[in-house]
Amino acid sequence: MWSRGRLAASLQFDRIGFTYPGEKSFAINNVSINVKPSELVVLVGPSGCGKSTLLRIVAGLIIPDSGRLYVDGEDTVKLPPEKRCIGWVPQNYALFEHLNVTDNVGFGLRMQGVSRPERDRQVEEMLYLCRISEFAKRSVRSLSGGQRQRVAIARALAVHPRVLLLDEPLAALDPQLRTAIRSDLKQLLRESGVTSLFVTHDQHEALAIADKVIVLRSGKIEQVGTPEELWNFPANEFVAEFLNSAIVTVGTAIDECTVEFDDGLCCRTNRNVTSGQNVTLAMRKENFEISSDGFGLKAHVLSCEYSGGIYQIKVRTEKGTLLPVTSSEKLAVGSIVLVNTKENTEMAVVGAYERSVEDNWLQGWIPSTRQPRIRVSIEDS
Amino acid sequence: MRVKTQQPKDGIRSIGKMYAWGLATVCLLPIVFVSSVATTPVWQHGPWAGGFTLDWIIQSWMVISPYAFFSIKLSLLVVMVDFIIGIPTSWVLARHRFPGRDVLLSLANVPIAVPGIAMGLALIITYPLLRKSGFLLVAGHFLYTLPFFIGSLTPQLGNPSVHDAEEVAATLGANFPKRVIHVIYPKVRTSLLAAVIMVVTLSLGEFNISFFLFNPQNKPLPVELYSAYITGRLEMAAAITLWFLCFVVPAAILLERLGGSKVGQA
Amino acid sequence: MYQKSTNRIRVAVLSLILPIIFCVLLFWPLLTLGLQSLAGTGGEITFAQYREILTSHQYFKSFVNTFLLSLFSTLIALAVGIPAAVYVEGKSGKDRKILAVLLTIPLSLPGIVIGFFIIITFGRTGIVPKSIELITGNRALAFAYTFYGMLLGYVYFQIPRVVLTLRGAVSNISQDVLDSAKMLGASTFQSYVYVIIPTLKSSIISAASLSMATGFGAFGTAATLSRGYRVIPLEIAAAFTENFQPKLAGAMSIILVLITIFMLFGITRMAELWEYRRSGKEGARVL
Repeated sequence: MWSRGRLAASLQFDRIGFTYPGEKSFAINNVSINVKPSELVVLVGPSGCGKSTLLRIVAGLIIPDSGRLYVDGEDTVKLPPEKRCIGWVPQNYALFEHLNVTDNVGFGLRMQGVSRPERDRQVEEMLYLCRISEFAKRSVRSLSGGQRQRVAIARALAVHPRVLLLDEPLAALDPQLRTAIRSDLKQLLRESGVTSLFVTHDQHEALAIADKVIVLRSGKIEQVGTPEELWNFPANEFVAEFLNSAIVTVGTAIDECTVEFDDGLCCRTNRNVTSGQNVTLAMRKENFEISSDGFGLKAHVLSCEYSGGIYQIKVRTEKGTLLPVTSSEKLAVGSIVLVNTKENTEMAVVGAYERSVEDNWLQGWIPSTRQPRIRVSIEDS
Repeated sequence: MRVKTQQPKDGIRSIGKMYAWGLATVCLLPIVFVSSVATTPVWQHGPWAGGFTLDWIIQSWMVISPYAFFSIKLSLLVVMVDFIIGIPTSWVLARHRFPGRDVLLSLANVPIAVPGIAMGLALIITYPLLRKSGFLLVAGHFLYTLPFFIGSLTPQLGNPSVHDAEEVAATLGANFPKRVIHVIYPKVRTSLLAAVIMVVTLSLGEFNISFFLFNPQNKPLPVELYSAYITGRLEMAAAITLWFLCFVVPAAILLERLGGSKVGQA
Repeated sequence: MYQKSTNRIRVAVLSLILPIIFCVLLFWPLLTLGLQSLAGTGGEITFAQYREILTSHQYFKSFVNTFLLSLFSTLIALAVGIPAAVYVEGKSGKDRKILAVLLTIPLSLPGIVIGFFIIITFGRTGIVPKSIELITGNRALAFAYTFYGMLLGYVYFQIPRVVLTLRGAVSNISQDVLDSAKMLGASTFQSYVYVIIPTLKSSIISAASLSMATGFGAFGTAATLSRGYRVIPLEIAAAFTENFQPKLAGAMSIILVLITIFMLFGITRMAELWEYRRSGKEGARVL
């Protein structure tokens, strides 16, 4: 790991709870999370779900009402922010406008009393790592959004923090830059090896860069897992809709791996179900197609939006179910089409699974026997 | 039952709070002191030795009431002059771009750079015959208060929301007088009120210019206050000060509530 | 809506009202003051008054006194005003609104009242000396009529102005920036020195220049408190009302006006130049 002198830390939240003074409802409600060293964990959820609050609790800017926070095994709830050695990148980067790039990045080292030559050397390394060496003497006022972001991250990393906190670091950038900068950011965080806690409200970002995703809603954890796990095995309706942009519907299982829903549409499921039971499904546009062979459900087109090479269409069946589907041709709103499930597709089943809890920190799941066993475990904590 | 939250110690906030409260106390203690002096029969003997008395307060009112009324009359006159000259200037500064606008803006602020005594002296040397009429006094106060009047009114008049509303009204068929009454005035009302209160308070407390420009028939309250400080008895001076504060402090509080701000003379 | 030409005429007329009035009431009188101060007894132009002022030991001392009072009161007001402004303009704390009102009240008090406050508190029969007398038997801290008394009066006068000027700039310091500094290990003192004060620099300079200018022109406070400690405004008043030397008073006034104008505009300009030279030398390095 690159982090000189300080190994990346592990992080544990143990039943953290917090309410803002004056508010009636919980901002954070009994949250327990386990983060391994060097892991890139993304906290995702709608506005107001408490993800930024959780970040500030790790930073020490908020003291939780209840619960404990362990960084590398030490309880740090009472430790003031200055002493935590945790990197912090706020949403608008909060650069020191009166300093140039070098002085911004070297600020933390200066506060710690590192001598000038040593400081210059470390700053130079950091600028190189973040690929902003050419801006070394520039005033931060003249930088673009993406450049400011890198300065903010370089500044946070320069003090070799045990944990790095990023509060919606891509939100302030132009949309077209976000995807490119996103992969740069992921690579940078990997190279530095620091444990990262990343907050975003953009589900695509979460799925793209995380090692582990934590979905939050109203201060509570909805699901924890790798992006693939959350995509294929959403624990509840909220996760399916928010993270996967799926439409949730209920159908009846007609055998171990097929479910019928709406007026006769059938689909294979990606895990075993009990025949005859009601099954909640997460329908995605990958599961459907406009039928060309005469089989399918009659539905009329509600909306048809062009999104570069393909049309995103929403249809409503006679029973009133909304279905997402794509087409390479434009369809008129209000026209009637036939919609069927695709041949080889498997639909995700929504639902909580039996949990295997190895200790208080673990939040994991075990899928059905059809899939190879995947279990999230702590290696040596 | 929620446990009371404790937040991390914020050094910046704590220090700031300490200084702010320290300053506020230092600024206001003297008012308490003045009240105690004004209500003591004989201050030499000690605070309230001999009881609490309102004699000084009553006496002082009889002494200063003519001057207090004069000061109020003067300030209202000054408000009128400020209106006549300040409103058109604010209007043109807020609404129009023209060559020399910056110059006009700087001009409006020139009186702030000129010490009051210099202004008073200049006026009296240039127009010695006008001294008797009290006109110079009005002129001096006007010069002193105008920058604050304009500074208070111009931002609000230039506020895009006011301008937009006015344009909408125009497209709906309102002519200029109607627009002023129904659209502009309601929106700038608060600023206008704040500006008026500011001018009145500034004028009531103005001393440096008045010192040179007054005459026995036209004597503002602060000048009388000054004679009391220099020659009068401590208790009387304190009582007069108390009356002065009664006029000025509520106005200042009201002003802060309305969002106004100003600076006076040393 | 309007014809362009009538619009232009209207603007021209309106915009000239103030300059004309000011010429009559301000510029012409100041000019007259200046011309009179240059006029000799026979009607010729002479710098006699100015020479008298600049060579006089008494007046020179007054200038120095005025300068010292302005300087120290400005510095003290800044030292206590900056933390106070940072708190009042901050985001948290229920008492901030009350504090804002309390700190603005002294703005409306004229210098003479402030002088009286000092007399009441620290005069010969002031509250503090009397209380100390009650406790220890000796009267102490009765410094109202000395340099320190006047300094205190000037400080009292400058503080609300300084706080007011700073408050606007403080609201531009985002809490995120302060939090970031904390996360990078800055203590409270370091945050002040390396983040808050540099960010407030231009506001501090303009507060300082306003403060110096007002200090020089301060008359009421000095008039009430001075028993022998001379400042320029007092000399002007004395020259005019007691000694009947209007020309001398006029010359001193002109000098005073030049000083205050310099304070207001010169300080800011000098700071800009200094900053430019410094950053020019080291590239964009500003700290």
